[in-house]
Amino acid sequence: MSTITPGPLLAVEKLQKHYAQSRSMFLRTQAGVVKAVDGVSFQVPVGATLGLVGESGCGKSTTARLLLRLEDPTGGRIQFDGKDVHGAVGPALRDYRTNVQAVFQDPYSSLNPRMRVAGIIGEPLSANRAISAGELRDAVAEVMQTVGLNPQSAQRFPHEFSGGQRQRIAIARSLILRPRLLVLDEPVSALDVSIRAQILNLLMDLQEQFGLSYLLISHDLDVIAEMCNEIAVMYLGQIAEIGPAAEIVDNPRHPYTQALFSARLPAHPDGVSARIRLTGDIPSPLNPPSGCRFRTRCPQVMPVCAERVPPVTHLPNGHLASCHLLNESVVLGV
Amino acid sequence: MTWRSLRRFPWIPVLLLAPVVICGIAGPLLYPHDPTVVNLLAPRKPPAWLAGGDPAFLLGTDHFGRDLLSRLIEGARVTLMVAVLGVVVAAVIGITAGMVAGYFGGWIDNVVMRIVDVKMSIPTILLTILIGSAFGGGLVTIICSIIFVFWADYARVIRGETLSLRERGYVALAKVANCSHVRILLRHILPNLFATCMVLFSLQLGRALIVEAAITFIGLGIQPPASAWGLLIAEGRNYLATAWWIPTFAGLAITMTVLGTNLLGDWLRDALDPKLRQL
Repeated sequence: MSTITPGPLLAVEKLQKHYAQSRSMFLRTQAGVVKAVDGVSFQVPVGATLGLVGESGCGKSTTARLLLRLEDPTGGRIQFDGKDVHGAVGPALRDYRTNVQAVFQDPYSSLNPRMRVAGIIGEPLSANRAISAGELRDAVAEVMQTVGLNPQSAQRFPHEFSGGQRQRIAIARSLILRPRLLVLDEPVSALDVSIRAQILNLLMDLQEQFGLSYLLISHDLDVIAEMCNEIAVMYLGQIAEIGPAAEIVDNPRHPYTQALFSARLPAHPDGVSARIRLTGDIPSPLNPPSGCRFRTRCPQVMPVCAERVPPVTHLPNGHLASCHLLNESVVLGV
Repeated sequence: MTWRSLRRFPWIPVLLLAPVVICGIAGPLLYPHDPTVVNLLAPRKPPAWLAGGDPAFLLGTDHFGRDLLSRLIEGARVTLMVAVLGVVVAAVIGITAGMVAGYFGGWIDNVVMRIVDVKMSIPTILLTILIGSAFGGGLVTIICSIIFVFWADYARVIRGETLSLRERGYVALAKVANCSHVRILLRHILPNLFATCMVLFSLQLGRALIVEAAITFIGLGIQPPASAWGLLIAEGRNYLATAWWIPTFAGLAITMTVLGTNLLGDWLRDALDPKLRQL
């Protein structure tokens, strides 16, 4: 069924979210536009994981909110299973949301403290389908078992669980509608290192078991490298480099990706890594640098970087990067 | 009941409020005398334990010789009914308005909050006099005044709280799960406002008692020969130097009730928090 669907499950094209900043409440003068997400394109194939990586403030979470339709994009398109969903309303939006669910970073604020676990996990089902109390109870028990929770704790409150268990509750909730795509926004960042591996393994098992597709957002490069088939590196609202995970990890071509991956801890404590240090802060998305957005911090900056926006360069193996360094005629000054 | 649950029981507020509530409910059964019967032969009798006191009039009598204890008990009934009714209706209006304003934002928020601002700019007493001259004095005036005065406080506090709650992860996830706005408001926002509402309710109840007493005091509230605590104070203020007991016991009753509701509110806030329930 879904395996013979041609094309990607989720296709995002030139997605944009600009926030207008008005200076005053009464006079609607525009002080500027924050370009939180500015022309982002990627695809998530069926059963695969796309990693979205970048510093804080680069637009990862805004992208997730746009995909979940918690906010409306100001431009671009989102297609799910071949259907446009960026402007979907009413039944089309409801239908989309039964196929796309999410897990958020903070397992403390993502579970309603006044609801019992059974209510939290069962809510997507009871909100979408007419279902009897008994069926609901069975469905909740089943999905709790799937994520490794004891169904007997269904009548407890979230605060009685540890961070890792809470994240399992959040995952159980996201699975109960049997969605096809999960948006995982920093799913393990708030957890202890010892718990992280358990949750990541659980996510990988579930992916295999249900043929799920993941959009995994993280700033943790090890998590991204471990989990993803494809990686997209975001900088200041744009994708700097995107490609198969092996390509991005072993053969990064964009100076930002190179700097990012050089910051990973080596696998062995004695291992030495040639660390590329970036200086300065990420510039304000209210007033991004001209030309290449990374030029203010790039160790290999050239005069052309301030003048022209680097085009997307197609490299072998479906690897795309936006950098003037990859364009030989520019580098050689021809 | 285990020792622990005994120790956690809110003894002080319950002991403060129990007599008031019992008097309010069972009033007529408890009067030693009819609170409206005038006895001009025994005006301004001091409480029983003072020189000249009469054991038949435990807290003494007022300037018409009516039994003060009976009038106090009768007053509890009126006072409680007015305050509870007024604050409950104000709470329902204010919580609804605040929640809707905070959750939806935009022009709805602007309209609701500007109405609140307008309300806040009108002095309470002026508003009361206005309502009083429109409806005449009495129960309706007091209850309307309390509703008018208190709903805006609720709306403001609840709106602020809702603004922070609607940004929580579970609200976003509820939207992703296709929950309707009504469902999100009732299942995710309202239960998390509960503690705030209860604390606010108990504080408002205390303030409502005071407003009620003030309105009655200026003559727009409960009319004699009925009894209310504010009325007892108003009637007794001329005798403060010679018969201090007339206004004093009513004042004490108000203080006790306000203190009791405030303490009960504090206890409720902790007791209703599922995180603290297990401790």
